[in-house]
Amino acid sequence: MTLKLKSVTAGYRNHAVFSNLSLPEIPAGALVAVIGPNAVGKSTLLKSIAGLLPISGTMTFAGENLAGLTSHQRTRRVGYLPQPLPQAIPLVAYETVFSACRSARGDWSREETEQAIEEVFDTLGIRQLALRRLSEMSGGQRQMVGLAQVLVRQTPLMLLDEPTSALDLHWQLNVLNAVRDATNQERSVALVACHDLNLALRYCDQVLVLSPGGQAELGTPEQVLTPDLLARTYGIEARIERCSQGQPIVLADRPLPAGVR
Amino acid sequence: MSSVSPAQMTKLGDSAPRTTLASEYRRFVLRRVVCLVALAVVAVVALLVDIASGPSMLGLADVVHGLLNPESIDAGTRVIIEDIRLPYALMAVVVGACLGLAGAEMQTVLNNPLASPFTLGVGAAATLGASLVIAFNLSFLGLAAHILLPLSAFVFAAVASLLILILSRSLGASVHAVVLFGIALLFGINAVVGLIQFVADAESVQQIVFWTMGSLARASLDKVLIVALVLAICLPFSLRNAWAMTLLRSGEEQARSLGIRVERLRLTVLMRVSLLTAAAMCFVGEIGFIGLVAPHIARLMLGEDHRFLLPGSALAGAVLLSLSSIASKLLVPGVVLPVGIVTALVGIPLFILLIIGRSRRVAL
Repeated sequence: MTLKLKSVTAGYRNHAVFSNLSLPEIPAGALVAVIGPNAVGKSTLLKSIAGLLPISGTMTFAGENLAGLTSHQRTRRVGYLPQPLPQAIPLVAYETVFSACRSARGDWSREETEQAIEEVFDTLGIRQLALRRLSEMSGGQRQMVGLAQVLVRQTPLMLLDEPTSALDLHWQLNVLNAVRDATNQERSVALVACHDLNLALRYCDQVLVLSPGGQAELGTPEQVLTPDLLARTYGIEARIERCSQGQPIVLADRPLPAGVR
Repeated sequence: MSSVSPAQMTKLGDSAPRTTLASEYRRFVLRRVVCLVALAVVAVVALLVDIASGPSMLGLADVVHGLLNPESIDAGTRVIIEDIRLPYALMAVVVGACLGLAGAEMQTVLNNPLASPFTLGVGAAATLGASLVIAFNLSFLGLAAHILLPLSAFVFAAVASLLILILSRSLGASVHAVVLFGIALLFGINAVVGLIQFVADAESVQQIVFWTMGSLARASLDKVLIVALVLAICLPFSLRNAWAMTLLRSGEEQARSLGIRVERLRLTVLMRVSLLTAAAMCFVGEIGFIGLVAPHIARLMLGEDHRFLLPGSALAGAVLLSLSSIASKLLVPGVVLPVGIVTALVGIPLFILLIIGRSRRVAL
């Protein structure tokens, strides 16, 4: 189950956000961080793989052309977490997740559905939220429910757009552990757009860096995340150092003047 | 960092005896079903009280006997129940249900709690369609006025719905854009209706004004049957879309990624809203407020799961209009006020009570 992108162009109406994007094959079981500055096209990339934007070019997953899938087939293969949190409405978490199963996994029996929901609430550690209304939750709690909507479907391809943006440190680690487990155990592929480079360094096998010029680089975090790339991409002076446990960490020192970038 | 950490709650919960989430959820659903049944019982009681009330007050027992076994009561009471009160009371129930359902669906697909067939001009468009037929005595393809009038109301309501849909899409469907456009449409249509009244003769003006006040006085069993038929046709389609609408409310992008064709859903729902609104209005005229408030009452009681919200909103609409109908007969002794005038007077206190009750529960 590998993901391949070849000469992909996507955008909104007449404005292409990125064009002719081709990537090396992303292998099964890979957790890939999609990083880059604001407005560079991270969300657009995830949306276009999720089939929510028209594209030109080829995207294949597990040998199937993603653009040729029916919406029914796509919901079984691709799980997408959008950036906006689930709305604060009087819908309880359980039925938010249940409705996602009803829509995407009509092939499951009632027992299978209930079992999957039970597991996802336990995995994410949000069992106590199951019968709470979204309107009575904090933003972070709603983001966890949104994640449960995606993870419960057990899709082989997961596209998560800033899944930890509203979460405190405990929940950030919890979520990435859950996604890491899913990719390890199910050999699924996960693309996670994020701004936290240290989280990317710690959890991801590969990093996909999108740069303002339209270039994309894919590689292991240590190959790709270099001071030079951070200067070019983010316009910052940064160091990559090792912590006491040998883990690489990014230290951002200062923004570079506009001309240097 | 959120002050109520789910982790802490999970740790606390671990010591409690563990039941499956599915069984907890089933108990939760059962409470909702009970709530829905209670609402249906209230609707039936309101219907019976509506039949019993009027210039000559009847006992509830007489009403029940009269309905179940007409031979058991005297001829005079039977005429009052069957020919006068029953069509009137049934019309209140079915029209209220149509408006409650239409309002809930519209609020969902436009993702806007202020949306209703009336606040966004769909009701006014139906009035415009009716006014044109009344004022200019139109005939089309040989159709009689009593057929052309509801038909024209429907076509205008559908066009208004489509205009809202097209414009909200081209403006990015933001809440402000839809509401502003709906309000602009409402004012624009009201201006045209005003113009029609200005040029129409006195009798037509009277008929148009009567339409805009909303009255159940011209109800008859066959008209009730037509509205009930429209409701019976629409409700199963609404319920078929219940899961999709629930997902749409929790988040549009997530719904899209789950295979919901949001544009198509909006289009079919808005068409259904026009049909329900036109059916509700064509025999009784404009009855505002119900389509706006019934969904909120249902949401406060039943939450946002559309399997319960949609029938709940229809029932809440039926109860509201039934209570309004009772009030319209009792507020001024000897006079039956147009029910459209009374709906807000009855609905607002009920609505405020529910909001206060809800906020107390949340505070506890």
